[in-house]
Amino acid sequence: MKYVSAFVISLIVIPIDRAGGEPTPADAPPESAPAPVPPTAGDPGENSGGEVIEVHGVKPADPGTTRLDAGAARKAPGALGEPIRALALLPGVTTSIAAVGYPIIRGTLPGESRFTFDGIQLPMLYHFLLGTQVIHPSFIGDLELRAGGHGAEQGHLIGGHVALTPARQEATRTEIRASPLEIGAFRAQALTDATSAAVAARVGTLTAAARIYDTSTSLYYVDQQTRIVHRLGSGDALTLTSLGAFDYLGRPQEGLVEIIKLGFHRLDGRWTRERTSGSLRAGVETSLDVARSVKVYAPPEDPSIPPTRPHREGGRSYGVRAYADGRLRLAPWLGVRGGIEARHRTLVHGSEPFQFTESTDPYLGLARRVDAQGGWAAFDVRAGGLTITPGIRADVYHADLYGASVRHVTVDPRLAIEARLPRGARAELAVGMYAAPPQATLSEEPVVVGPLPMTDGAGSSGGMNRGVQGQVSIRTPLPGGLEGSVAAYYRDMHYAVDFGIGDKIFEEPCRTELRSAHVYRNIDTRSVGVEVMLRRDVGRSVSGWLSYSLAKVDRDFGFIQLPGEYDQRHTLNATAQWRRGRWTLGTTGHLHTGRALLDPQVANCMVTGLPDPVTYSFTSLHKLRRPPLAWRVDLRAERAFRFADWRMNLFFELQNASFTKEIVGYDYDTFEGRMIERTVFLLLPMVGLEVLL
Amino acid sequence: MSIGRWLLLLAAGCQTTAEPYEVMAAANLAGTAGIEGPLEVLGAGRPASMFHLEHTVVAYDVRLPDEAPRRLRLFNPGSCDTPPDEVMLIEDLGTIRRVGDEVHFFVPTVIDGRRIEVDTIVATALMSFDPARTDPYVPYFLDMIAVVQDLGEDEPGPPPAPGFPQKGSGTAPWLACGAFTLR
Repeated sequence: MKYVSAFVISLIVIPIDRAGGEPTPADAPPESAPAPVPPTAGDPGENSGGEVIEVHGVKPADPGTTRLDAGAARKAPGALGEPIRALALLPGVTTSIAAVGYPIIRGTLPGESRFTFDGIQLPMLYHFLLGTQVIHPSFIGDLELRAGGHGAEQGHLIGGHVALTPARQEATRTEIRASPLEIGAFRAQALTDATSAAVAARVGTLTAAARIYDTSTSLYYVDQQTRIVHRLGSGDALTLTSLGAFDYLGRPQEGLVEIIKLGFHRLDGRWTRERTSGSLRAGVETSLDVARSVKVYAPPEDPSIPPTRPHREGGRSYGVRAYADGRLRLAPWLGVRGGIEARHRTLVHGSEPFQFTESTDPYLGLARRVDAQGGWAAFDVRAGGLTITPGIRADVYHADLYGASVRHVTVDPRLAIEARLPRGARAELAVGMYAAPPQATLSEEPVVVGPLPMTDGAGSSGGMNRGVQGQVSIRTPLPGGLEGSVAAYYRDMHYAVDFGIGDKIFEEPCRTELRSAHVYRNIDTRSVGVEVMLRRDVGRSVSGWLSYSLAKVDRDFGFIQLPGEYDQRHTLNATAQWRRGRWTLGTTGHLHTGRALLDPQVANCMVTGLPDPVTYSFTSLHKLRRPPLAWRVDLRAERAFRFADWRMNLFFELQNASFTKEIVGYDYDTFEGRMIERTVFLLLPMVGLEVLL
Repeated sequence: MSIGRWLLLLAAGCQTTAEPYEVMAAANLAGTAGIEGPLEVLGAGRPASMFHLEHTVVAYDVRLPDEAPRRLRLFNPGSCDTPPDEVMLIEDLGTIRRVGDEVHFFVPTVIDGRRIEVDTIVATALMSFDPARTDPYVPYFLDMIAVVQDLGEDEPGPPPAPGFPQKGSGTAPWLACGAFTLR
């Protein structure tokens, strides 16, 4: 059984803007709100010199989209102050370990989903793939989860889409955080009447936690975010965004030192124009990714033996993306939207690239250059309470691999129909065809990580993953300040390359004439499910949400049908916060039924030359076993202290207050002749201090 | 393919224009049973500086006269003129059979007591492309031939597992043979 435990003490300082009142990240609308409409001719504001009032609001989320305020997500028990972790509590989302880890959306591997910040795609979510998130929590305004049924604006995407929106940055706000793990700062303020900026940086170390396992390990990380918005007037704005993260791991082992470096940087500059009749956006984004491993061997004791050369794996990549999109209101009942984009990436893998599978099959091979172009168009036709949105998307994908070159052209039609129902309810039907190049995900139970840097284009010589998706969603306000939503979906996808089973085989023991069958190409996967959510937003004495997912994922190999990699039938999450006086108490409960795990088999085989049979264990893709139900409870308590000119919040959080463990795999001990359960026990207490000046 | 059908496939998102993968070597099969075409050994999709012994083998363009499965094996030495009783079996790649316009590799396995043929599309073979890095179980590729045989031909003794050569195991009739050459 593995234990993971660390004590975290966190200090957060949040000065209040004395002129503007208290900044409350949980309540502030995101920066993505539409810019104020400039006065036009005949407008009372222009001719009479009357006061111009700016109203910032947020368009209600589509019925098929779940929006979560980053401030509320940050305070959800179990999230440990990282809003991205709260995604695991939303309907349609599972993780490899109960509510911890990369989100698996409707059974698709994390590498097949897309995670963006203000439209900028993130190549990784967490430091060291498992640690704190790469974006400072205060930099995020909202999290929006669209699990499926994407519109034509999303191309080369067959999984879910998690969009992080930027936090508002006009109001002055400073946050300083210090702990034995990290020191970080966030600052947002208006630089001039037209310019605002937000800057965040964190430097951290997980060395203390890592040394629970290995006393000589070193783990350091750094991340930075910068966003500058300059309003040109008349609804035009220029935005410059810089995102970056870098991780360093030094791990001495016997006879060698292994050094791993992971990191990325994105620089995005864009121009936006907002008018009552429409909007335009155009921008350029540069990208840099690093993923390297170096093993430096100790010199041999015998000086006559030449030293072993360092073993280097991985490399770096450079890229650029240009995009433009807009919308135009042709008539009160008709609008048109469209966009184009082009991107290029060069991947320099070095002499030995990372091996994501044990196979040397070139159909799983890495790319050296990727070029992609796409264009899309959609119409919004309004008829009474209905909005019908037909759309179409065309993409060209070209990859140069080692010794091969591929080019894929796809055309995907999409359709969405939204209806306004009585009493403020809304319904949506979204269907479409979807295609995407194979996306690598690191899947080694219980760790599943994706997307991965340096994997763009990997496996594309096998073809494109493609299929159809459809979902029906309803969202409605309920009495008592509640909101309810229900969604049902169906996905039928053909995987040209399924990285989830790249190294798994169909095995039959004792038959030496039979080869192990590796099957990872041309796999059909079907998933179907129902998701329910009941929520009550922040601002009331009791807030939180309840989510339930019923899902089924099947893989069809043609000769056999098996459960999908993350076929998890029932998932139930409940999180609630209760405010009374100066106390805020919160709890999160998570429960899920077991996924199908490889079930070790035992065989007694006669071996040539030996009189007695030999016992050995093996696994085969079709021999599976579901562990029992897993559950966990997290707790959070916060106490506010008020003084003359300042306030202080003291909080304590305990992840896995239920002290439960989860089975993540099975092994067979041939020596003792018994099955062994591989379990994970996560226990993480955190103490934090917020000071508001 | 007609332009109309091409456009239909394009609209459905099914059209792909792919350029050939890297082929390191090929054995051009030829015989009297109507079986012919190249058995191709692919590169590993990695920098050439990375040495490896396991190679993907494809038979996409091999032509078979019918839907029946055939066995495909690798023997040593590398000449189709070698008498069958003098060749050494290096590796049994499984069976090949037609799938649409292509020929795929199939691997027999047993699932829940049923023997079935699993379409693995490609096969893997151990061979060296460096004459200085070989051994009896992983020979130099030029020292091998690819032979197509019928299924169900009994041979003396159990078939050897990969890596355990057995002399004289090529006595079943050869339907087609090809020696590997560098591409």
